[in-house]
Amino acid sequence: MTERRPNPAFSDADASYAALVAALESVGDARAQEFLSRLVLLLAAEVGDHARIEALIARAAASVPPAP
Amino acid sequence: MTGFDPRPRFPYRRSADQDAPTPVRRPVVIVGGGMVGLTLALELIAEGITPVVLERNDTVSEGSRSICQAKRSLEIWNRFGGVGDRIRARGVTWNTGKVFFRDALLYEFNLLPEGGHRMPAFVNLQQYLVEELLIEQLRRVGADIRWLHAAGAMTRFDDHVAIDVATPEGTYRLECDWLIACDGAGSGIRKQLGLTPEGEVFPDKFLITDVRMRAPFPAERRFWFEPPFHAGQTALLHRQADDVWRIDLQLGHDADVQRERDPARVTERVRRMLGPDLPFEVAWTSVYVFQCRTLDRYVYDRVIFAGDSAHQVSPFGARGGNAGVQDADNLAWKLARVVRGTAGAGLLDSYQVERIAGAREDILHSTRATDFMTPRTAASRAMRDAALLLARDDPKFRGVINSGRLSVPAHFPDSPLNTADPAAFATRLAPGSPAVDAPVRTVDGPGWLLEQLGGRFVLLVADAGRTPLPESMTVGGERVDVVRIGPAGCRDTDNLVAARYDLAPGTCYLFRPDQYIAARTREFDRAWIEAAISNALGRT
Repeated sequence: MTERRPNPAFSDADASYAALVAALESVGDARAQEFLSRLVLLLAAEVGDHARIEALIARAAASVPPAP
Repeated sequence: MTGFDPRPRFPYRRSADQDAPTPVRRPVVIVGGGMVGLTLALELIAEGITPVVLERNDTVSEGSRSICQAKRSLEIWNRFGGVGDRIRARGVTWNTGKVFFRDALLYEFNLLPEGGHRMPAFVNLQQYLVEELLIEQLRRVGADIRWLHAAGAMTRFDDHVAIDVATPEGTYRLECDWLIACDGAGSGIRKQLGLTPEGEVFPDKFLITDVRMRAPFPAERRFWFEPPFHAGQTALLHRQADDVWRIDLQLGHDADVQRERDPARVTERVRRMLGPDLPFEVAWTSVYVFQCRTLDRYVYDRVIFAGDSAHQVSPFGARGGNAGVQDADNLAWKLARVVRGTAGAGLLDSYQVERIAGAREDILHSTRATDFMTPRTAASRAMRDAALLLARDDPKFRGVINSGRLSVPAHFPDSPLNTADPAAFATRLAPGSPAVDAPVRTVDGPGWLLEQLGGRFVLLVADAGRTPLPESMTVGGERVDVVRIGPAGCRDTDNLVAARYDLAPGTCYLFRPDQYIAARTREFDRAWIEAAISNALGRT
C-alpha cells in the first residue's frame, strides 16, 4: 500500500480553477460572498489542522492590505 | 426593580470600631458584600480569620445578574456548610443547551455527559438568592458583615491600609493588614489607585431582563441566532428559580439606551418572543455594553482585587461570577497563610499569576463568543451565516458555532506552585488541574472524593495496604493530611478515582487547600513530597 500524502499535489489545477470560476460566475457577484464563505469553511474543515489553516489565512492576508 | 422589591433588608448596626479612640487594626477588610466578597468571607472564616465586610447597601444585588452557577462554584461553596447543596436545592439544575437558527433547532448539547460527579454542570439561581444563602451561612459562622458601611477614601502604608468608612451615623476610620477589593466592575478602590483594566469594549448593546411567568419551557439554555421574533439579532432564554426567566436580547450597535429601557418597549420585545398568549411581568431590566478586560496585576502591595473589580467578560459563557468565586477560592488559603506567617514569598504572587491566566482564558472564550454573535462587517456576517447553515446540515461544523463556551474551572499548567511530574501519567489531569470528583465509600458510608479534599493540604495515596504511611505530615508548620484510597481507607467503589487519576498502587497526589493538584508521583518518597509541599507554599 502506498503511503497517503497528507497534502496531495494540486494535480489538476486547471480543472479545479475552472470549476471555481464557473461556480462564482454562476452565483453572480451579489451572492458571491455567501458562496465563498461556505466554500472557505468547507475547505478549512478539509484541511483540519489549525496551524495550517492559520498559515493559509496569513498568506492570503499578506497580499491584501488592511482597510484604512 | 419595578413594583414590589422582595429583597431582604439588613439593618445598619453600629460597630464597636466606630467608638474606638484610635482606628482599630483588622487583619482583612473586604470591600463589597456581593457574591465574591461573601464567598471570600466564608473561605477566610473557615481558615480562622474573620474579615470585616464593608457593604454600602442594606440588601443583596439588584436583578438576576450572575445566574448560571457552574459545577466548580457549587463544589467550592459546598465546602462551607453545604451551601452548594442548598443553592442546588433552591435553583434549577440543567445540563442541556439548545441552539436555534432562524425558526429551527440547529443542535443541542449536554454539558455533563459523564456520571460519577456530585454536582451538575450548572444550577441556575439568580445572584440575589445565591447571596441570601451565602449570608445565611455567614451568620451561622459569626461573620462581621457591616451593612450601610460604605468604603471611602483609602490610604496605603507600607505595613497596612487605612480606609474611611461612611455610615448613617458619620464616618470612621478602619485599618487593616490586607484590603480585598470585591467592589465590582465599577470598583471605587480600583479608581482610587488610578487603574484601568485593559481589553475590548464591544459596540453592540444588549437588553437583559428578568421576566416572571408560568411558562411550559423545560429547564435548558436556549439560544437563537436571527430568530423570527427578533430579526437579525440573537436571543437567550434561561430559567431561574421562583418562575423567573432571564432573557438577553442583542440590540445592535445603534440602539438608543434610554429608549430601550422604556418598560413599554421592553414588554413589546418580550411579547414578540413569547407570543401573545403567555402572561408575564417584567421584573428587572438593564441595557448593557459588554467588556472583556482585565487588570495586568491583581496584587498591589496590601490591596488585592478579586472578581469584577479585577476582570470583566461578556455574560455568554457564565464566566463572570464563576471566575470571581474561583478568585476567592484561590486567594483565601494563600492570604490566610500569609497572615499566619507560614507562606513563602511567592504564594500571594501565585494568586495573580494563576487567576490572570484564568481571566485571560475567560476573556478569550467570551471575546470569541461575542465576536461570533456580533459580526462587524458584511463579510464576517456572511461567514457567520454560512457557518450556521453548514452546522444545520453537518454536525462537523457545530464546533464553529459559538453561543458561549460555558464556564469550566481554569487549569494552571504553568503555575509556579506546581512540581513537574517525575513519572508518566495517562490522564488529562496534571499539576495545576482542579480535582475531579468521583464517588467513594468511607467509614461514614457513600460519599464523594471532593469531600475528602479541600480546606487543607491533602496527600491522596493509592494504597495497596502494604506501604507504611503516616497519618499526616508537617512541613514548615503546614499540616498535610494523608488520605488513603484503597481497602485500608477510602474505597474507590466505582473505580472512577483510579480511572480519572490514573492510579496504580503507591501513586500519590498532593492537593492544595483549593483542591488543585500541586504534584503527583508514583511512589511515596517523603523527601520529594516535602519539597513539593514547600513549593506549593511558594517557598522556592
